[in-house]
Amino acid sequence: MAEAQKKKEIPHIDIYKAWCKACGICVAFCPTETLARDEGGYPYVKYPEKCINCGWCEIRCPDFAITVEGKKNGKKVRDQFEKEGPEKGTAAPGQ
Amino acid sequence: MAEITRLIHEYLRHDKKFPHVWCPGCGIGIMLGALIRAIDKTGYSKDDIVLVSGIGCTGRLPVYVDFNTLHTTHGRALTFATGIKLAKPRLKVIVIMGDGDAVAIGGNHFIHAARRNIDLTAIIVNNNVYGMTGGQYSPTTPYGMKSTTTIYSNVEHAFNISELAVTAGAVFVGRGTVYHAKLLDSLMEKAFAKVGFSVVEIISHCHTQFGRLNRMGTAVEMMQWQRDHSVTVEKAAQMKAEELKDKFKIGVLVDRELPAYQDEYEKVRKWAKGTEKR
Ligand SMILES: Cc1ncc(C[n+]2csc(CCOP(=O)(O)OP(=O)(O)O)c2C)c(N)n1
Ligand code: SF4
Ligand code: SF4
Ligand code: SF4
Ligand SMILES: [Mg+2]
Repeated sequence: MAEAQKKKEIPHIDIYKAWCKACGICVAFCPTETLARDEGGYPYVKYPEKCINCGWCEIRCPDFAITVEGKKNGKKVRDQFEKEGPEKGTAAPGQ
Repeated sequence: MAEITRLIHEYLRHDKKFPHVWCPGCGIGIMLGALIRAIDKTGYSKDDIVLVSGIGCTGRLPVYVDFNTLHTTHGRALTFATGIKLAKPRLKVIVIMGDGDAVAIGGNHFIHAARRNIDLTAIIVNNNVYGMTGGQYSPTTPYGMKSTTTIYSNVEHAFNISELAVTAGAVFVGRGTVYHAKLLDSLMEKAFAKVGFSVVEIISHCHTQFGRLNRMGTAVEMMQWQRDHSVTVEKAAQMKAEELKDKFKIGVLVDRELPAYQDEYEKVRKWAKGTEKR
């Protein structure tokens, strides 16, 4: 039960391979290392539970090939994270 | 599909070939996302927006989006846009240019559009090079950097596009980078809301040409460079000149009021018709 509830809260990340060009931007700037690259350089979701739904992978993807569907408490976790770091420049860059 | 991408798909021309033509990791795609989100915020309908571009990798952009679009000749986008704005002042006219388009061949049009203060928004993707034609140097290629036409080193000094726009009279000037993609949304929103000539300079990377020749690495590394060399206007105000030596400012550089050309010109029409006295 607790397990099922936890799962429900993990953001859902979709990678649309037909448009993805394996540039590595989403992986490089993910503040939580949720994403990683496979042998071909394509992104995959390595640690889904780490995702804080900051949305930066979706915003920085030049090819509109990655999307993140929020979780219920996504905003709260994200705000907290952006306040604390770890890498200020990445989580809440320059604004 | 998440909200942001769903929105972008509403504006893409799905009869065009995707993925788009730009190199893997090219910043123009990131800027396209910001542009669509910012236009959506304006509340204008697709038919009330006109995108005008010149030629270049950046100039290719309007092809992909479902507005009124005009893909004109290299350097002349602002002239076509001026004509559209004067003929149909109610339309929101946005001009998309590369650095070559805007300040090399089109440099004269650029300073005079700014001086006139015609109500257009110029969005300039500054990747420091002629991307499309093979990496020739442009007026924004920094001194000491390489290009295919400055293979030893560029011995000329670069234009600062935003400063040029400020000096020439633009009423709104903002600068951002594709690394700071959310900042681009907000700068464009502000520029679109402004009546008069507004400019958003977008520092982007051409890793395929400029980056390769100058050993600046991948798209990711060039975006890290953008992150590490930019300072917000607010932060810059607290910093010493020597700390700012290898940095560039991002944010709103100028926001001022001046009568806009198309409104002034309307007065001239009335004087000429005799419906109003000068
Ligand atoms: C009148 C004219 N001169 C030259 C060209 C060749 N040409 C096409 S794109 C371009 C430069 C593109 O550079 P920029 O405007 O910076 O755009 P980018 O490709 O870097 O986005 C040139 C010189 C042309 N198409 N028309
Ligand atoms: S940023 Fe987009 S195109 Fe680049 S690797 Fe990630 S999903 Fe693919
Ligand atoms: S939403 Fe943020 S934390 Fe989640 S995968 Fe994307 S960049 Fe990483
Ligand atoms: S040549 Fe340069 S500007 Fe053109 S698509 Fe490739 S990376 Fe982008
Ligand atoms: Mg260019």
